Formats: sequence, C-alpha cells, structure tokens
Amino acid sequence: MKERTQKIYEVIVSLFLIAASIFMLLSANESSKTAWTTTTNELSTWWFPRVILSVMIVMSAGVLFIALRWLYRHRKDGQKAGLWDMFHKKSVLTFLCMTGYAVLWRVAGFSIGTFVYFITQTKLLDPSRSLKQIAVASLLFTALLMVVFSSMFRVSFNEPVLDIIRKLF
Amino acid sequence: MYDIGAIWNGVFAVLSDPVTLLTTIFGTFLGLTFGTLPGLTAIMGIALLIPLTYSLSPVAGVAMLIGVYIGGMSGGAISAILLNIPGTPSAVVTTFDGYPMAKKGQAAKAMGWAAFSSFFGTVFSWVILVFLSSYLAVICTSFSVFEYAALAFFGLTIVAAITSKNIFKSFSMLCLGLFLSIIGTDPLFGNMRFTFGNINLMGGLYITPVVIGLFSFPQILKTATEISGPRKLERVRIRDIMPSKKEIWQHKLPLLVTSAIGTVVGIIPATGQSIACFLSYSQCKKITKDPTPFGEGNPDGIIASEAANNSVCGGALVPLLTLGIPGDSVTAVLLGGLMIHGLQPGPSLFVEEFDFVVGIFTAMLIGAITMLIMNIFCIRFFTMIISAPNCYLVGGVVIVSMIGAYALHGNFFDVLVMFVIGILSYFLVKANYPLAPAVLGLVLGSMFERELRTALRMSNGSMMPFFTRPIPLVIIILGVVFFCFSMFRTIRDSFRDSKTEDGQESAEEG
Repeated sequence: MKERTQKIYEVIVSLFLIAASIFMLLSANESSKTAWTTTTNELSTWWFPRVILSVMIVMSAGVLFIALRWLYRHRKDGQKAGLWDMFHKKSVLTFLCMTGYAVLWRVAGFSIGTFVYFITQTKLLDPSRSLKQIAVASLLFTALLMVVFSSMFRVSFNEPVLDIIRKLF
Repeated sequence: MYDIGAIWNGVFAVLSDPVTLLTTIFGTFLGLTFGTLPGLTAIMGIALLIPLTYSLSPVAGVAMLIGVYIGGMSGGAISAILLNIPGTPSAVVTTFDGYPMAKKGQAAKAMGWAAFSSFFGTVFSWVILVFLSSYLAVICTSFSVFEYAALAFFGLTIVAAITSKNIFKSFSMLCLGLFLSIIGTDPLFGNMRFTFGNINLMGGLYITPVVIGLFSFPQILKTATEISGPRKLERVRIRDIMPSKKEIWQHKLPLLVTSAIGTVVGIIPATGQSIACFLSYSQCKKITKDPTPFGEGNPDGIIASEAANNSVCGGALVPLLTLGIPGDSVTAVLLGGLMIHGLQPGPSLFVEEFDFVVGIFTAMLIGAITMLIMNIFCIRFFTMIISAPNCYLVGGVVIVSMIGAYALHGNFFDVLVMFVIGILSYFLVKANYPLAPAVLGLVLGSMFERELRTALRMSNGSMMPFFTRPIPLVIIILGVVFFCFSMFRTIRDSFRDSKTEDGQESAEEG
C-alpha cells in the first residue's frame, strides 16, 4: 500500500513539475521578446533558464513514465492507496496554525502572535496538558525570544498592538 | 620570516586579556546556539553581533565574530543528528548518517564524532592558515572566470554521487534548485527573470528561507502527527560521547582527507561549506573502511560533513586576511566587521597590524578548544531538547524557523518564501524525492551561470579556453570522470535492485 501511495504521489508531483516548467518556459518566451540583449556572440538572459526548464520537463517525464509503468504492472494487486494519509488531522491543523501565526505576526505583532501561537499549537497537539501550564511556558518562551532577538540582536519585529498600548500609557 | 618574539607577544596579549577570552567563549557559545537552532546560521549570528562589537577592541570584537563562525559551523550538526533538520545549510550532509545513528540509539556517539570532527577540521585548517596562508593565497589569485566556471561545473557533477536510485528524481531536484537560484535580476544584462513584477524577487531568493522551507516544513508536519509526550531519554555519558583513541586512529584517513578538502575549498573564494561537505562526502565513500553503508549511520559520513565544514573556516580566512577576498558568504560579512574596526584586510595587514593577525589566530584556536568542550558538556542539554514533548518541540521549531527566515533581512516576504517552498517540499518528501540535489543546485546555480556566461563573453562565445587552459581542463576532466563513474554505479545498483524485484515477483507468481 505504501509503495502504491508513493507512486501516486510521484505522478502528482511530476505532473505538477511538468506543468510548472511549461508555464515558466512560456513566461520566459514572453519575457524574452522585451528583454535587453546584445548582438555579440554570447549567452542571452533566457538561455540558462530554458535549458534548466527543458531538462526538468524531460526528467519529470521520466519519473512520470516509471511511476505509471509501475502502477500499470501492479494494477491487479488489489492494493489501496492511502492518498489521504498525508492530510493527517494534526498535520493539517498544524499547517493552519502556522498560517494563522504568520497572519497574526503581521497583524498583531511578533510578541502577541508568538504567545498565542505557542499556546494554540501546544494545546492542539496535547489537549490533556493544562492551559495554565502551557500559558506560563508560552510566556517564558516569548519573553526569552524577545530578550535574545529584539534586545540583544536588535532584530526589528513589528509590534503594532504593543506600540498602541505603549502610546496610551 | 616573522619575529618569534612578536608572535609570543601577540599570543600573550590575547591569553592575558580576560575581555578577549570571554568574548571568544561567548561568541562560540552563541555560534553553537545559532547553529543548533534550525534556520539560524553563523552568517546571521555574525551579522546580528557586529553592532555589539563596536565598543570592544578590534581583537576582542573580531574574536567574538570568529567564535560565532566556528561554533555556528559545528552547531548545525546537533539538530541534524537529533531532529533530522540541518541547523545550517551545510549540515544537510550530516543528516544522511547522523540521524540514522540517532535512530539506532547512537545519538551520543554521532554527536561525539561531529564534535571531534569539527574540532579536528578547525585545528587542521588553523595550521594551514597560520603556516601556509600567504603561499596558498597566491595560487588563488591566478583563478579567472574559466577556473570558477569549471569549479562550479565540478560541483554540479557531485549530484551523481548523492543521487537516489531514481536518477530522474535527483536531476529533477537539481533542476529545481538551479531554477530557484536564477530567479531575480540577470547578473549580466539586468533583465528580470520570473519576478512577475514582485520587487521582493528582484534580488533573488535567499538561501536560508529556502533551506528552512525544504527541510523544516516536512519534518514539522511529520513530527506533529507523532504521539505527544516525553520520549525515552537516552543516557548520555561523556565517555560514550568522545570517540576513543583507537576509534580516532581507525578513522584517521577520512578525518585528514575531508579536512584537507574543506580547507582547499575554503581557500578558493566564493565556494563555501556546502560544496566542501558534498565533495567530502562523495570522496569519503571511496576511502571508508567502516562496513556500515553510507546513509544508514556510517560515522565516516558525519566525519566527512563536519570536518569539511569546519575546516572551511580556516581556509576561508586565508584569502580574507591575506588578499581581502572573502572565501565564503560568512567571511563576506566578517569582512564588513573587520572594516568597521578600521582594519583593511590584505597583504599590508600582516605588516601593519601583525599583533591583530596573531591575536585572531590565537582566538581561533581558543574558539576551537571552547567549541569542543562546550559540545561535550552541552550535549546532555541538547539531547534534552529532543526528549522534550512534541507539543512543545513543534511550536518551538516553527517559531525559531520563522524567525530564522525573517531575521537576517527583516523582510516578511522571506517567511512567505519559506511557506511556499515548505509546502512543495512536503509533497516532494511524500513522493520520495531527494532534497539534497536541490540545495546543491541552489548553492551553485547562480555562480555557475554567472561565471560561464562571463567566460563566454570574454572568449567571444568560444568554449576553447576551457580546454586550452590547464586548470579548467583538469577540473572538467575530473568532473566528467567522476560523474560517469558515479552514474555507472548508480545505474548498475538500480538494475540489480529491479532484477531482484522482478525475480521475487516471478517467484511469487510461480
């Protein structure tokens, strides 16, 4: 089952790489019409990308052919592909949490975003852990990151909400 | 010849100055910490620490930066071994054998080999730096674009040695890496390539967010699905960590060869740790006497990676201090740090600021010893990181990875790049694509294209100079021979495996 699933993923990924490469090749052809170049005998801006993308199409077609041949040979095995295995509930929720963290970082700022994300992510992966314990851990971790990166290394994090609070008081 | 008295004065000045000693130790610790945390690299540590060195003396300030450099190179192995996430881009190769060793319950041993190899590599390159720096730097001045293009070509042929059984997949990934490296402004004509009007893409993709996305993302999502709770903590004893004298003697050849490769690659400007690691790994396969297959926990795989990436440190300082040419991206930032302190690297530095040069050499050796001691005594602490419950580990790694992608340029677009590459990488891992060739393409792609096109412009489109100049010719021939040999071996193994599979199938049918 595992091998069949992998072969189906190979088909999906190789088809994606072929489609993306064709799109990029078309984009390269379009851009090359307006690109600045010289009349001297040298490699143009688009020579290298065209070669890379063409090789990528050939190689991905190779992967596709091998995967399809394997699937054809083993079509009567009666194996079922566990295609949805990769969309494990915790993986999907972790990904959504990460996306939410990125958005929150932009909107509410680094400190608040990190504090909220750490609590959400930890509670999501281990619901049995007490919220109080997680909140303390999150607070300490966020404070440590702020001290190290913001105070010591002068990394400039955006803090729109904290800036408003600072102005108020 | 240098005055021995002046050398001793310089050494004594460093050893008797508590500020320089403390800054070196502090820098090494920070470097190890930065290297350990995925996404935070030595280059980032140096860039972030430069403002802190303003108030220090030049020797103390630069010693701290060199400490970060050495520690950062070594620290990458810790997360590579314990989490299968390379702490630095060059630690990718360490994951090949380090993580399998950790899975076998030999994490302490793997980290011990990583620490000792890093120390050995640093000291080896330090000896070369101190005694041969001026002679070796002269050789590199003769390199032109033809030699650099040939060198990049040789680097790309390494894909044949790190390829998986399905060569189509490896070459697809190499092309993906090469493609990512060419996004941005064309270095020769200034045309925009695949930027689609986005100004953030005009400067190209930075290596750090791409590497974090490639390696952290799939691992984070995989770890999230594993059962949360405290893991069984392997008992780590210091006598288990350090390889014995007998073991060191048995592995002397890989240690020496890979340190030499790393030092030479470091001396050649604009190459860097990643090339040294991949090159050493492929060479180490040929000289190993350990029966464990590579990729399944062979200590020589860790030695190859760690000795090479740390020996690049000393090698890269050779052209930096003697010629003012940075040997890699980290020394490029270090060059900025030197200039901030009013020092102009070059031949005159050895004459006008000899005390400073001796001070830096001494600080580097102190940094190497500190790194080894810290690696041994902090290993228990770092092993505790992997024993932490997944629920904390996942959140922590995500946050640190995102800071790593963001911090160096302070641009949120890099976080977005990490996300996009991460999603793609997740699917690639599920389809069993190897990721290392993508990193190889990403690191070498822009250099290869730039040098090749510049070379062809200089030769008016003729390839002949590559075959009439001795150094490029030798490098190209070596590359082709190496490529053909590795490909032959891969294809032969692949056919053997498919025959075995067919035999098993027909036996089952029979």
